[in-house]
Amino acid sequence: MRRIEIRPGFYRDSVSLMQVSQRAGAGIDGALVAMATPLNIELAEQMGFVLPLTSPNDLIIAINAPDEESLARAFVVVEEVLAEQLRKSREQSSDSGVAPARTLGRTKGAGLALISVPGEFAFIDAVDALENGMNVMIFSDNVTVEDEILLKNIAVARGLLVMGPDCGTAIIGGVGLGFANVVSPGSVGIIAASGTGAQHLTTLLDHAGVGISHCIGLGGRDLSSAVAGRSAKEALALLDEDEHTDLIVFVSKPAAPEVAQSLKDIASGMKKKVIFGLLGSTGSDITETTEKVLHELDVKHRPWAQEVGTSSTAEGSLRGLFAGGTLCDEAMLIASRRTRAPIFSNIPLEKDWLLDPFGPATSHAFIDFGDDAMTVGRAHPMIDSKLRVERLAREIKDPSCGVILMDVVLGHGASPTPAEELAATISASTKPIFISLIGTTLDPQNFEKQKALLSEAGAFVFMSNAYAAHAALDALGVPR
Amino acid sequence: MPSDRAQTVPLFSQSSFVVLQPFLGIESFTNLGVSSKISWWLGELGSFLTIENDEARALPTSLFLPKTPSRLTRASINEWQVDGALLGVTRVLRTPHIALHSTVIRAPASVEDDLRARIGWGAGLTPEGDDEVAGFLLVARALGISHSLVGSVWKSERTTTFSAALLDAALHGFAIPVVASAAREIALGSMTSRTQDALLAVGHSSGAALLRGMETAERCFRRAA
Amino acid sequence: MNTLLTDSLVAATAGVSLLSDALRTQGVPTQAVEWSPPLGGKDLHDVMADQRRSAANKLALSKMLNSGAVLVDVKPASEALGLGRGEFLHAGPPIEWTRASGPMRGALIAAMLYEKMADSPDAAERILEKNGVALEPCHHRGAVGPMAGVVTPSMWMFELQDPSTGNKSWCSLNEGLGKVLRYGAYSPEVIERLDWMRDVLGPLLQIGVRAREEHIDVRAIISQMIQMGDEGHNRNRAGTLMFLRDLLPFMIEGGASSDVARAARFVGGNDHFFLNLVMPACKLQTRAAENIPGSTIVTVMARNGTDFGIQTSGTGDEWFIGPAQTPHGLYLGNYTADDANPDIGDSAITETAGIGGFSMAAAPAIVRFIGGSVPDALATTRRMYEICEGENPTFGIPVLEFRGAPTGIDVTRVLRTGILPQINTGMAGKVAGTGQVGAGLVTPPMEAFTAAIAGLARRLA
Repeated sequence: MRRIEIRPGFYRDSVSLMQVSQRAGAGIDGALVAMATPLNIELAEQMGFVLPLTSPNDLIIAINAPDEESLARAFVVVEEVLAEQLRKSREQSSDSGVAPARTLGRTKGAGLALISVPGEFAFIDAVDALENGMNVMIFSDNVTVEDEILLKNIAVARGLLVMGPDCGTAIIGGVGLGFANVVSPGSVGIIAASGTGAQHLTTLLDHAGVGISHCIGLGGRDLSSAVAGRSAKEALALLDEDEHTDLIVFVSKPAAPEVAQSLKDIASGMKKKVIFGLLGSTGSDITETTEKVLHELDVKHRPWAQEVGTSSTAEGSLRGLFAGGTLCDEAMLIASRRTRAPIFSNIPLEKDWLLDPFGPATSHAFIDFGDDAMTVGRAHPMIDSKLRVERLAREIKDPSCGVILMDVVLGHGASPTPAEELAATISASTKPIFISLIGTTLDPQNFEKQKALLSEAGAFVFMSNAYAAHAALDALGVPR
Repeated sequence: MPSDRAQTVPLFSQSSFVVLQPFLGIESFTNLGVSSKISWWLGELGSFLTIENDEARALPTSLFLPKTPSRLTRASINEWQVDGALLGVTRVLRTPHIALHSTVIRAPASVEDDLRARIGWGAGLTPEGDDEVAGFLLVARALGISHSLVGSVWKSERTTTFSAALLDAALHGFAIPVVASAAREIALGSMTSRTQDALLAVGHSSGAALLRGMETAERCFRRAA
Repeated sequence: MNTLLTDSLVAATAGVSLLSDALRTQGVPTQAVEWSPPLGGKDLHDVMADQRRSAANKLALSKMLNSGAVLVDVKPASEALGLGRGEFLHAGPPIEWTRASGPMRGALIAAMLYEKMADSPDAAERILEKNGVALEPCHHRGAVGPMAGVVTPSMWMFELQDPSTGNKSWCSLNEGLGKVLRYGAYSPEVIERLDWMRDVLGPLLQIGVRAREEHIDVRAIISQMIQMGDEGHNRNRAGTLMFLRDLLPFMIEGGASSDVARAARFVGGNDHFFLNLVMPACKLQTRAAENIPGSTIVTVMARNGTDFGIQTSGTGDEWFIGPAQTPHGLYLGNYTADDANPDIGDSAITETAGIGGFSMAAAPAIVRFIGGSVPDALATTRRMYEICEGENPTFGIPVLEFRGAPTGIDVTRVLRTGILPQINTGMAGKVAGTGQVGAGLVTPPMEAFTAAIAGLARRLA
């Protein structure tokens, strides 16, 4: 039986509401607790609910339960979780008994504002933060390019930095912001226009015993022609002045050529050396960039070079199931170069190689589970692995699949038990599974522990994404 | 984060603290003493640890926890058992460090003797004499003054375990942020009044004693130059 | 130089708690904002993108803080405002008879009788129905009026001036409580009292004011009364007595008669007398911030018993209207919520200037008359800081450690937080002539603010 309730003007963020839905829906036919956006209205209708007229600022509570009692109980659970979340956030926000601020401009003494509100509103909060002298990190995506340019112009005029929009990773003075790994302090400064790219670089450096000073995130569009590297330039200036930074590394997907050139020109006039690790078909992968840095620092240790895959060969296609977009990209590039065959994907290298990520694959295929279309109404795959685990099981049963390649990313913000979530499915696999494990020993999930669990389940674990990709292709007998 | 990690803690990096070789083993720690803001612990394998909750007082030996526990064991490389709860490391703090300058001069024997005699002199958690020696060690390192004041000197019974650990730290260039800044500024020849005020505010008399030690080193350097 | 990499990190977050949780576990002091989606759509976005706004609002606030208000004269409206026969002013945004509520209609009838433009209430109504008088908001002349706020040519007005701008503002003399014109009563005793005020009280006050060498500093009295438990809208007792203390000797010295005793009793017996000085002082404060291009600071909040209107600094004298809400609180005698008229009066100018409901924390005694508890009063003032540009140190609130009153309502902040300005007000009976039925809390309608942001967006270059 179904029951639906609407709370007008009652707002909670989507992550919190997902938790409410999960807990209320446990053991019954279905629960949707979400803001009444067009998308969620469609989801509710698909679940068989009939909705009254709503606005996107209203909360939908839609429960489908087998009987009256469990229906009532589910609604009680919804109340309890909502109240618990509110209590927790109020407790944490202040010890003086005063209500929390309602806008960033009314907080006291903060030097950095982290914004993860829905993209259509993020601009407003970012302006408020900048006007109040705060640097800004915008986790949200779906901010228009005009707004991004305007924000960055305001920031430049005020001597502040905007990391983002769509910036998921940064490390400032050792503090991990967003999805970031726990690393040791050191003297390498990183500027990254890619989240998992930054995570991979920092973790490889950590494995080699090299620490970092800061990792400044730029967001996905800073190096486009339109935005012209506004934040990149500010980041270069900051790191050039930073007393703890001796060497600077720049990591990004291919930038607009004139922007890349202007950054290189700036770099040549700086005090400190800048190593450019631009990914893409003419660039280097992250492991190669890391090795350039180590060479510059005269560090010989390359722990990833010792890891091994399997010498036995498999037949069939390579299937990549990725949580990190950049990691997926670089693995696809390696596969494309070596196989000289089409690599189908929902983020394909060539237009003709487009794949429906929900449908079956027939040849080499890579799926980026973090792509927008795949994270509608669900958390990012680094947090919730359900979709990826389902696909993994499917690929294992698929006769056309020869070898599977995956990334598992550790650190702040990611699932606390990624290996545990994959282990059962991996142990049941008859096909070789290659995993790049992106993390450090100090990460909350503990790199060593995760590696052991994945290896015990039968996967071949690599600390380098590039090496994992090569090992997977080796297992398919693809010549180098 | 799972709920049993409700209060995870930042931990100083072992790699920034070379000589003390703390925390290599999985060991339990015994509480040696508590003051209002800090507690100090001795590991069964001999390592030394302080527990506190303020980044500005970040000692090189520190673990940060919201309050002093009664039981403390290092469970793995990044996990601690604190009063029965398993806490994970969440962040590594950078330890302020004075880089070692290559040797320029040798400290006069009279200065060394004088400093050696001060070890353990004075009352308190960190005796004044030890503070003077620590100040000297930091600035000597910055200016390239070589000397024979080493761990064996203060590991004799004369001083507190806590103070001996801080002297080891100073010998290797580690100090709390305000002391490290002061040492750097004095080595460069000019300490700002703001830094001096902040230094003098350290502890009850520690700050003044540290300053005296720093000035001793600076004088040696000037005379030799 | 940007200190992001050098300072120890202190963070603020807006959005998913995942991020603030991760920061707290790393020992970083983090303030998580209690965020809600803003109203105002593209208009709000465009106004936030306006590069003039930040500096314009800072200027508006500083002009408000630097304004003053001194009492320079008392004179009839015909002289002070050039009001001619058949010209009446009223509270709130423009309104005509057909849409006017009970108290407003009653007040207009009383005004007709008082000015001898009609000899019976029915006759007065007939003229008013045919629009036989010219009606204009007090605000259009720089004046303010409490409740119905009706001003006629022979009414005497306080005249105040702001030394910082030279601006002047005016307000009539407060009639007292019970059956009075401003609550829409028009019985013979109402008219008699008005006659006495014109013939005796006005001229006496004028003598006293003119006899003083130094003008009475109304702003300074407000500053002191805030520290004595008044908030300037619903509670004006200390202010009234301080005013009387300042003026009485000069009324006596000014060579007046035994009328002085009656006048002193009249003023001293009316706890709201000083309201009619607080209001024009607040008008001067908010006027000082008028006409700053790009500023989103509210300069007027006013109600006429039917509509609630606001004006902003960046939109000149354009009115942004929504339906006046009905106050809720405590009711006198046997009155109930059904007896209350929608919000009426220019007295919301006090909240516009940071006192009244905004300074409720300074007047805990008031909670007993409007409902609510003392903690509510503190929480209300604290909430108002969220929607204001800044604080006014001249109006320091003792229980908040003399923190300045929240000043400079920002339209963008109202829309972003959903927090509406809190007004503390008396309630008029909806039937003309009933008088006061209670006191309570009310807010403007959100429509006024969405209309204002659209107006501000229209003026973007």
